[in-house]
Amino acid sequence: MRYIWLVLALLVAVMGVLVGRLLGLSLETTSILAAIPMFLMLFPFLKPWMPKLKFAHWALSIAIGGAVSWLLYLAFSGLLHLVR
Amino acid sequence: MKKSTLYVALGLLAVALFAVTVPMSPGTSAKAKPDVTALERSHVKRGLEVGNRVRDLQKYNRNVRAALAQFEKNEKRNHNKPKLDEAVSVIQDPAGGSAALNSAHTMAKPFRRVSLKAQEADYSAYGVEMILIPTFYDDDEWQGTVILNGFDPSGNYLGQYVADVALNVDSTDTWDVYYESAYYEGQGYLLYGNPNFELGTPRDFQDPDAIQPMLSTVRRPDFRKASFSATTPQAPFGGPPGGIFSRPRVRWVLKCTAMGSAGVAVRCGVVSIFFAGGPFVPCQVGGSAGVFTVCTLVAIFGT
Repeated sequence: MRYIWLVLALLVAVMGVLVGRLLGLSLETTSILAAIPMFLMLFPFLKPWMPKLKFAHWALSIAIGGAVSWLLYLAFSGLLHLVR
Repeated sequence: MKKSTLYVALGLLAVALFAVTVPMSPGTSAKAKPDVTALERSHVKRGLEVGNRVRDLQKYNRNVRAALAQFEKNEKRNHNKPKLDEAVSVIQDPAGGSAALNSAHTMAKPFRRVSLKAQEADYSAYGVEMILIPTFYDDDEWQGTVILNGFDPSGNYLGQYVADVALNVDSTDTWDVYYESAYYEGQGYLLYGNPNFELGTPRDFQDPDAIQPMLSTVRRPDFRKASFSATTPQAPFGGPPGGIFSRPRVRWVLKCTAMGSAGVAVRCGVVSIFFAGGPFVPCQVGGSAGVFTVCTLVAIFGT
């Protein structure tokens, strides 16, 4: 039963990318927007291992992690652009 | 006989049993003469035969039933149940005969050899049957139920010890007990470890606080005597053995990051396909950093 949430999260991720592509969003925007619902969907999957974790904390962690990810993504993209 | 004496005897016998059953290295075995008597006294059984014996014990022995039930109640959460047919039975017969009630035809010798040195308690002639029922195990962890039946040198039944035990390999590559709960009259008594420890759940997926022993200062586990390490080495300056990476919370973050990064790699691959060759490296680096941040925050908030 637990792994259903994992499968659902993967489906949400794929759907997010597809929707972003259909709406003509940029790669960066699509990437981060598709990741957020996917991670939120992973909460029930993770809960048994972290019984004290609350959804609000999970959402906050994702927001901060998303920001870090976004900044590093932009930094490395820029770095690669400069190298090329 | 006092129960503590019985447990000491059972522990020492278990050590002797391990010493007999653990295979020697080729170099050592070529030189050492095998102790034929000791080998003849020890038997190892496994599989369906032992499984059926455990099922019988589960039916008629409330300590065994209670010990196994502790694992079974967590099965829905961790998908690990006692693997009865993988149980191993290790028997060291008493010197006087098989590990059975045979006192009628074997008696201990009435005279002992004269010695000028004060004689220490010698349990080598005692017998023990040890049944190990695994519920979860991998290369560096073992969780399960242990049943010890003790016999005196004449084969008289001394008593039984039933416990749920969790062991792991510590930083010095030796097996060490980190949880032990013994059962008397169907009731469990925590001897070592943390009462919040969830039996059957791998150590890395436990609440990090639940694997910190709360009762370690009260007493040490009995089954520890049967482990391969008598003492846990202390790191210099009072730090944990093995450094920061041996801390459960740090190990959990690393494992979480590794698993998350694998997922990110797949996801970046999918995104690259959809966007006709989108940059994989920035996606992977950014994603892994994000996963690491999330895992760290979850380890802080969730424990």
